Amino acid sequence: MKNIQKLALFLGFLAVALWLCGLILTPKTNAPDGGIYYPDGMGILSEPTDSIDVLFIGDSEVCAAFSPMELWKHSGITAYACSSVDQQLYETEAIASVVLKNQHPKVVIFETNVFYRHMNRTDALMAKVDRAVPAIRYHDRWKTLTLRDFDPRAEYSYHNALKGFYPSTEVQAADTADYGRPDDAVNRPSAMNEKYIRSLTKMFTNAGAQVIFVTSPNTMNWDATRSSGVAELAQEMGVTYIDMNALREEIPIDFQTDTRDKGDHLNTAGAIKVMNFLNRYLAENFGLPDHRGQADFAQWDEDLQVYNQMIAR
Amino acid sequence: MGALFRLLSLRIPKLTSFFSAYYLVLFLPGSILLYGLAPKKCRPWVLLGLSMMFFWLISGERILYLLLAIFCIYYLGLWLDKLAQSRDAELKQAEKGEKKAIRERWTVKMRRVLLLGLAVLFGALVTVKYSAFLAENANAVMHWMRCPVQLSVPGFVMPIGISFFTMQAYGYLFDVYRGTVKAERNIGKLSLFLSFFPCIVEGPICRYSQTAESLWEGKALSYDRFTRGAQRIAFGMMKKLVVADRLNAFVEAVFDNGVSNQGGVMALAAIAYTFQLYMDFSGSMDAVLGTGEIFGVEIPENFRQPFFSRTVSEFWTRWHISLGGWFRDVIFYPVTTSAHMKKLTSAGRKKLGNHWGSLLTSGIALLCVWLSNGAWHGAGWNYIFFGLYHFVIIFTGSAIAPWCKTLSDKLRIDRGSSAFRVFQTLRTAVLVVIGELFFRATTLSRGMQMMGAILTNFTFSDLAVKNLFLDSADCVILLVTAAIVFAVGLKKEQGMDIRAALSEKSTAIRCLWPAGLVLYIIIFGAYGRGYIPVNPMYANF
Repeated sequence: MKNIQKLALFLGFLAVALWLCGLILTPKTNAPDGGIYYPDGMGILSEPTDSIDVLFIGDSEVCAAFSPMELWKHSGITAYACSSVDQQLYETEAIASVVLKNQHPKVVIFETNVFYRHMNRTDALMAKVDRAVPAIRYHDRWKTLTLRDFDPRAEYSYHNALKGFYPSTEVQAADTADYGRPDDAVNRPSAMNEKYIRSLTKMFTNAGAQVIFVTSPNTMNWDATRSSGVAELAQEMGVTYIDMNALREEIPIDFQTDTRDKGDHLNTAGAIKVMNFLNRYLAENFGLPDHRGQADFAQWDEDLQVYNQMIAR
Repeated sequence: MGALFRLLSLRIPKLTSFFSAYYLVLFLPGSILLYGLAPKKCRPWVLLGLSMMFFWLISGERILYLLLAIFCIYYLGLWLDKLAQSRDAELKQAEKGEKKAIRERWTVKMRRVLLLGLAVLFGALVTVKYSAFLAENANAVMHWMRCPVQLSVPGFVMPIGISFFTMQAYGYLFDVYRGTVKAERNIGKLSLFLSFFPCIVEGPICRYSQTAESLWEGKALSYDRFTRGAQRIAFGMMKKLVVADRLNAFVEAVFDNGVSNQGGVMALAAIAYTFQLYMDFSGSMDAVLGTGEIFGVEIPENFRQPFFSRTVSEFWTRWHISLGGWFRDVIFYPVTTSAHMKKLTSAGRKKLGNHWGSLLTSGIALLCVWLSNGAWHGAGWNYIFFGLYHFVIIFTGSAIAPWCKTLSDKLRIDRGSSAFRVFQTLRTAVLVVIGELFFRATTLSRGMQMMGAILTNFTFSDLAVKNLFLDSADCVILLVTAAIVFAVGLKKEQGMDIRAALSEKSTAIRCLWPAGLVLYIIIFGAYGRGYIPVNPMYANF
């Protein structure tokens, strides 16, 4: 009994110390240099509550292919691209759980490249532990602590005018010899990934969103077998699936000019073509409100000017 | 067979280190739980099952090598034992005058079996570890001789820990041959001795008489042993995660990527590497011994505060002790006590005098030891040079020892003074760091180039200009942690058991310091975002 008490005392000390350290080490800002995870997508934390109607989520394909300001420019739809490089589905889960606290998007566009990233159970479990214990997750912030960090209240004031989009004027043509080659095989995401996809879809649906699986144009990571795999899964789940690689006429991507890295990611020119299609698609299928001219959304017009300047460079 | 390979190489998360979350959060607690729940009789078998699972998790299908090797060693041991029994039976019935001849006859037979074991174990080791090196060098020689033949360079994947396993397995056969241990008839017990999971990656190279019994005893878990073991694992984790892994990026930048050509930066990198290797390897040993402590297994110490050594020779009796002991028993003593060497010693003493005569034979044995030591660490000329370097340093030290004593007497230097001790310790550290520079260098010529830069261009300005991955905050943490390790080492050197001393303190202190240690590792460890995990360094040797 005495030993159990000692063990409990040790664990108690440790738990309190970890909790206190977690309060101090957790970033108090969502600015990219403030130490927050997924800084590109976390600009959404500064957006007013329930102001985002469309959420793009997934790995780096998202910030390359989906430019939310194009939706605002043409339809007055508010959207945000929450992505991170080399994202695993357990990270998608982490991002979604943070975002859905303040936003209840009407449509979630779930980019499918992340469906095929190999995960292992240990990493997924460790990611959960990491999220549960901020002292572990943000441990390396001890180097940059300031007095402000000792006040546990966060101030998410970093504003991202591009709404998570990564503009690029770089052009590196893709090799399209095998692009779009038919293949009857079906390549489903792994069982573990599928579990996460189903759980995330449920999470979005429960938050009031309609989920669409979308594959952005890509010559490097995508093929017909994956397309069939996602189509099959989407059908089972009753989710709409759009493989943009199959919509060559509707989305006339030229992989000689519209990609920044040989077909892995689109550049701004490619993203604009994708967004032209999405503007039409969303207008035809969802009655999303046009917020242009509304006082609460005046900031979006200012952001549009910044965006226009950025893509004009 | 193909199906077996496929089964054994299933895509599973691989264990990489004693300090990976997979090991610390899942494997080790799971193992302790299973062991604790098992009845006494089953505990050794549980440990054996866990050890096999561990090896499978780190090496996949290469577990077949381990199983095959265990099988061979088991039967070779029994064979040696049978020969020894036959010899003893014949000796019992023999007349006094015949005994020497009988002994010699049986020794020849037993030596053949031992050599067979040597061929099996080291044949496999040479094949997977050295064949590429040997083929490349043979090709270079043939190219130089303008011979049109070129050998293909094989690309084997080494089973992790093969160097340690080979030494331990051969050590067992050698001990059976010498008669210091009886051949093990229980294949489970021998398998556990050869594959016990904490020791199989980086040692220590255990001798059968040291660990086999406590391994098979199946001691019940106890709270005291558990806490002592866990504390030692945490201390090792601090060395590895806070210091060794933090230094890795700087060491790699200088040694592998050549970010600086300045000798001062290279000297710092050599010091950093020596420090990193010590913290990594001794930290891993803390984890190994701590794990052994939890299961009630007596594993021999592999480090004894090496940086307190006054000579390089002493250093190597305090660093990787089990390897030094293995070389001493298996190479040094057999070479120095062989009939040829005894003759050479007496002839040398007559012609050269006692000092040089005995140095001659011990020098030959020492050369064999250090060449083997260098080659054991890796297939590369830098490793061979590393061995030769130590041979030269240690041999020269022994050769000039009488002159040094005379000189210091004449200069009235008090060799027992603290100042002289500090001088000796620092001199030893410098010599060790030079050896480690060649050890870590990507090639021997790169090592020479770095040494040249240290001697001719001893400047540091790149430290301020280039990104060397260590900022001032990192340096503070490195110094603080080094001070903690130094203080603990000093107390150990003075014969104090710190964990025992702390366990005498009040309950609050006993609970606070381990919690503080864990917190220190969590906050200041070099892991997670921005760091690349570093596998245990000695597992590659």
